[in-house]
Amino acid sequence: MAVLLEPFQYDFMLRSFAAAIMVGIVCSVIGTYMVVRSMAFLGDALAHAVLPGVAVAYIFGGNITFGAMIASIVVAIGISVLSDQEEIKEDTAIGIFFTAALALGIALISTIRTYAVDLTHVLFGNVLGVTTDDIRFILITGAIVLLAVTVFYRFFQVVTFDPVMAKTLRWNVKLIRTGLLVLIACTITISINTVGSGLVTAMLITPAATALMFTKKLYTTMLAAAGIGALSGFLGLYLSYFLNISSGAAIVLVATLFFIIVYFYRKLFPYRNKKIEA
Amino acid sequence: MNIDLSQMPIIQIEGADLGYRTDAEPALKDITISFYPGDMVAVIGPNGAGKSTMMKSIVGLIPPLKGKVNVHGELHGAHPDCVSYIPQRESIDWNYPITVREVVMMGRYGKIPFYKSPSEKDQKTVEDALKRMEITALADRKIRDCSGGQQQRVFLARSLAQEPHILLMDEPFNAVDLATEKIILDNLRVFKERHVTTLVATHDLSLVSENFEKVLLLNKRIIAYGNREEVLTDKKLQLAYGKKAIYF
Repeated sequence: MAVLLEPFQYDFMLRSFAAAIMVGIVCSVIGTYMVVRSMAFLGDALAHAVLPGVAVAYIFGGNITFGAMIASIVVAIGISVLSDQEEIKEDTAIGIFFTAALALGIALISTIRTYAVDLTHVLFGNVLGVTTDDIRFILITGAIVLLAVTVFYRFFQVVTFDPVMAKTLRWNVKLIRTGLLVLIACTITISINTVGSGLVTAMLITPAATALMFTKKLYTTMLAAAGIGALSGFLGLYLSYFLNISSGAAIVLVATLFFIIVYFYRKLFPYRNKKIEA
Repeated sequence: MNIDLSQMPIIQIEGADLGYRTDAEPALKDITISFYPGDMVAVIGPNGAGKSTMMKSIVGLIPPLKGKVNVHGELHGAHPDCVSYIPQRESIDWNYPITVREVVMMGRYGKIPFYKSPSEKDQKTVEDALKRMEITALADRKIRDCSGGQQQRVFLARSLAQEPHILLMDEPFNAVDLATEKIILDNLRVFKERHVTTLVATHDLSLVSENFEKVLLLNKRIIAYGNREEVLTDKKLQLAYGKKAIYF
């Protein structure tokens, strides 16, 4: 029994659990919008766009997470502005911006000689290395994202479900959409320590897609996804301690397992509406 | 001095070219037309005649390339929430996690400040709209799990809940069952009694001739506008649809 509680004895493990759970929750909530709007590609793009920010911060000795956040927000706004032109589709805008940012990141990093360790952390995460400062950053940013999603729920709901109606209500659809992209960018930034930029798309998409299979409303999808995300973060980290595997990968694999279980459950027991004559 | 509001045009289009900036030719050229409170107009014409473009222009989605499109005597855009637009089915994401009641409540969003919950009046208006469209039993169902006809009724219920002055419907009778068709037509009359100006784009000319008094015939310009007897003549329909068309 004592063996099972072992991970909780260490301060660094407790910090890691807090980070993994918070990231699991925030990613899943904001990811719900990405699943309903089929924006998986965007998540992947923003995750890779953090690279030049990381490189610049590294070169000048600044805070790497902060650099990553600036870079992903700039790219998010860039995508939003560029895709607003009638000639350029959104996925084209994403493709152009994210590869350019990635190339810039690689170019900058190739000028540094001792980058190997830090770069793997960006790509695959290193939740066990989170400091107290990191935790504070993750918790505060995560709380701001969740607050924004709650306060502006109606705007995001209409813009993602029926943007035409949002326009007829004279809402600033462009601003709302850009706001959503910035929230996604912030979420990705706080996930880099935990699951890494290579796997963050999974945390954004998988729990939300799982929840979507058994929920009817947007906010219930978000709540269920948050539960799945938090549980994946906790269980993944816990298992990675005993199996001695990468924590980010373990978290993503647990989330995927949840998806597979719900998927087959739904296949075996399809949801049926009561027959209503109308 | 008393002004009879029913004599004041609610929608005024003057010398307008309508269409997207990127198109080589405007979809509609040199449009001048006025609609009045309580007008219930069928908008007909062949594919690509400009029916959708006209609606999108009135609702403010496409600014006019030339001329004026006014609502209540002001430039469109000055009037949030008074125009309700039901787009063609294809522009809605039917997989979205949202229930029928939530969609109808969206009709109230223009009237509820974003930091407030819907009031009792909002909820009552929504329930009334659900009842009118005979979808109360479906209220907690996910929108995806409704039939095509039911989905169309959900969107009309949303427009009822919005209490607009102008209602624009793009092809509402496409792929709906007869029961839905009847409910939609019945409720269009309710809108008319409330002095709502209603424009309905449709391909179904026999439905138009039986249910609409006013008809607007388009084909890249206004071919004819007036009472159905004046517009639904062989000569005018041939002008819009071409010589070999079979109408009924």
